[in-house]
Amino acid sequence: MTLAVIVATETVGEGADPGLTAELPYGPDSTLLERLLTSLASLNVPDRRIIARRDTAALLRKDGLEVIETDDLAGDLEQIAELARNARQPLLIMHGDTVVSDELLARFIRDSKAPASAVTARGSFPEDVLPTRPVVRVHRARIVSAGSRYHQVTDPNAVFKGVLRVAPPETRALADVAAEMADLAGRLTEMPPIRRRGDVAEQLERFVDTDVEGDIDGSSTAATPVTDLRLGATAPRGDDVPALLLTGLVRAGVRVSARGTRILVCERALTEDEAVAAREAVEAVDEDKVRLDAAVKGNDGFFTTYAVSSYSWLLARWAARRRLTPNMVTSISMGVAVVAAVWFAAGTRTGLIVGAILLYFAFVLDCVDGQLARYTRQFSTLGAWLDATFDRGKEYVAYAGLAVGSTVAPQGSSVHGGDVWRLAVAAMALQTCRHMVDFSFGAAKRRVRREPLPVLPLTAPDDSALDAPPGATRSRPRGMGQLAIWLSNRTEKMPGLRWAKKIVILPIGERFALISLSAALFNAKVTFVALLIWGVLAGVYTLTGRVLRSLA
Amino acid sequence: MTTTANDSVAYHTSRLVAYRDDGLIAQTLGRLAQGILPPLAPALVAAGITIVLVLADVGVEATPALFAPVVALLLTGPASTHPHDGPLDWLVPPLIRGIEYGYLAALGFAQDVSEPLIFVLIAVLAYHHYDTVYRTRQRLWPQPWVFRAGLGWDGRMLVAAIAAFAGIAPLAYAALAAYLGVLFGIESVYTWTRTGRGEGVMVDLEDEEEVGS
Repeated sequence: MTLAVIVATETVGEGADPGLTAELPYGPDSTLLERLLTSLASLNVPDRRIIARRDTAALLRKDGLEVIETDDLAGDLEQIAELARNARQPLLIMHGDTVVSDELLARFIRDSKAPASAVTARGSFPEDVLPTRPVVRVHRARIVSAGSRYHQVTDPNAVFKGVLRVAPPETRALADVAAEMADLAGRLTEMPPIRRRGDVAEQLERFVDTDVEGDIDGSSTAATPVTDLRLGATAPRGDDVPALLLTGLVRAGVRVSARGTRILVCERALTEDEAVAAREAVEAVDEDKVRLDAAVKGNDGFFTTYAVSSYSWLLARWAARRRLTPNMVTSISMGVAVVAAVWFAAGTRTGLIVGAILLYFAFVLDCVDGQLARYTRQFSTLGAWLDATFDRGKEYVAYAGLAVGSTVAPQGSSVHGGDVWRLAVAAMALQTCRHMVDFSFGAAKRRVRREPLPVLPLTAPDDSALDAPPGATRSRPRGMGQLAIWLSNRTEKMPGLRWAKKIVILPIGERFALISLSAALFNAKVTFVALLIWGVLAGVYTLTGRVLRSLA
Repeated sequence: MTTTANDSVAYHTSRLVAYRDDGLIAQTLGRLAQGILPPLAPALVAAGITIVLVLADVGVEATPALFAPVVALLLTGPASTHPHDGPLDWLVPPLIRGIEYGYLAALGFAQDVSEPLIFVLIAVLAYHHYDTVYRTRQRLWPQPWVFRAGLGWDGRMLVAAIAAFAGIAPLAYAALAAYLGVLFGIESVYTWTRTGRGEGVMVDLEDEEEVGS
């Protein structure tokens, strides 16, 4: 269960009665904050704290919300430090004026893999344009450096969208960071957000004095390259608490994962125009379609991608509408595979062809169950086990069916492959050993102790301490292992070779296709010989690569 | 739940050791060796010797293959307490699987055990080994008694070898398949159905299967 901390301190315009951005209208009868709270409630996040200034707290409290009153930035941070210190659950920290697609928020909240993560969007930052949102530098899906009004980022490549999630045990780091930042509040100097590599400190001083000062006033922000000029064009007036916390976490050496928005929306709306534009952007996206697309696993094999996943999402959607559970689909899939094995065992050509078709559909259903689970977000340990175990069961029951069929087929018929039980045993043993190589290598790979990340003081205005030392260039691969890794990474970028590499290792889709085709066209003996030859080659290929990698 | 980097290392280490599926004898040898002996080189030698003994067995009256389990056990057993932290030590569990499956299959064929029965026995073992992997990934460790009651790879190979020596290999294979099938099947289904319906967290089993299963 997540605790949402919503910062509602940003105001619209100046004057005697500045309205809150969180109170901007969202549609005819809702505000940004109300919409956000509704979304959070629908995502099973009932625990919400709103941080607001004393003068506006009464306004918010009128709506029956739990509001924490603060006087200033230091107060905001102290309150968050307190919440983080007592947190036993993940914390979601965001602005009250954030307009975010439900699908994005749902994914972000349930992203249990990373202990800390932030919503970011890739961007380029031309010299003459000043970003209106906090900038970050992302490397390999990790935020390497984060910026705030007081912290500069060297060569940023993304913006922080103002939504941060921190789960235990990193909530302790968050508490420390928030407390330290609260102490520093008011004592840090404002910095231009971007530092170009190679700029040294004294050059920066000049840089600030001349050109950029004008930009900070907002004269050139209109040129921000966004698709909808009304989206994210305004720079916030107040302090950006999530950005400060993100900067603090990253500088404290916490591993913060960058989570992109893709085509979903996550924008702060600071004016009425922006609120309208953000709502239009959210409604322009078919979130159901996005979720369905994402349910199809991206990293599948060639056969699975083209001969199954290209249409299996239709079945997944149908199953979802029929309220079938993933476990039901998994069980049906196993049942179909057993029927396929029975047909294989008949020892006739018809039996082999019908069995082959049924085995293919058993595999299709096997893909559907995972897609259905991701689409409907129904995950369970039992389901995961059932899926994995039945995958193996389906394959080996097909082996047994084929072996029986080959033996009972009349002598001289094209179906008769003789006694192929030995081949069946060999194929099963080989496949299991190949899987064990994967499992063991995976367990050993995960064991690698991660290097601690660099720590930067919050008082440092820029992140120059992270600069690569002069003369450090990307070294050419040395040794066989390095060469193997280098080669592997290079070939990933070539689509043809990437597919070839995937097919060569005989993944599950290719195996099922091989079994079905060779059995339908020839007989069980051909199937097993093909499985053995391909399997041995695949085993040698993966083992070679992994041994070299391990020695690198 | 607080997981430090060291916890995580220990967790993956014990997974690798659990994948070995050692029986009582191998564990005892391991305790004697106190984790000093490295696992990889002896396992490779054991695999080589097993292959040679099994091949030498073909068509010969005397049965050198019967000694393969003893050789494999003496070589691989003492490393059962080793942390398996060498760069290539991940090769050991699959090597042990290769030795076990290969030996049981070859011995069964040589002793005229019904071939479907051999298939069933190895399928039962494969089920147990997959199940161990799928469980430990979700931190549902099998109870130690399951490994002991399952005899371990060493125990199973010895039972098969002794039965072959006594000329009752078919009986032993049938008994092993039936006993282990009931043991592993019932125990794992019972555990999974009891614990598996918990609140669904995102569980990605395909995580480390680079081969794409």
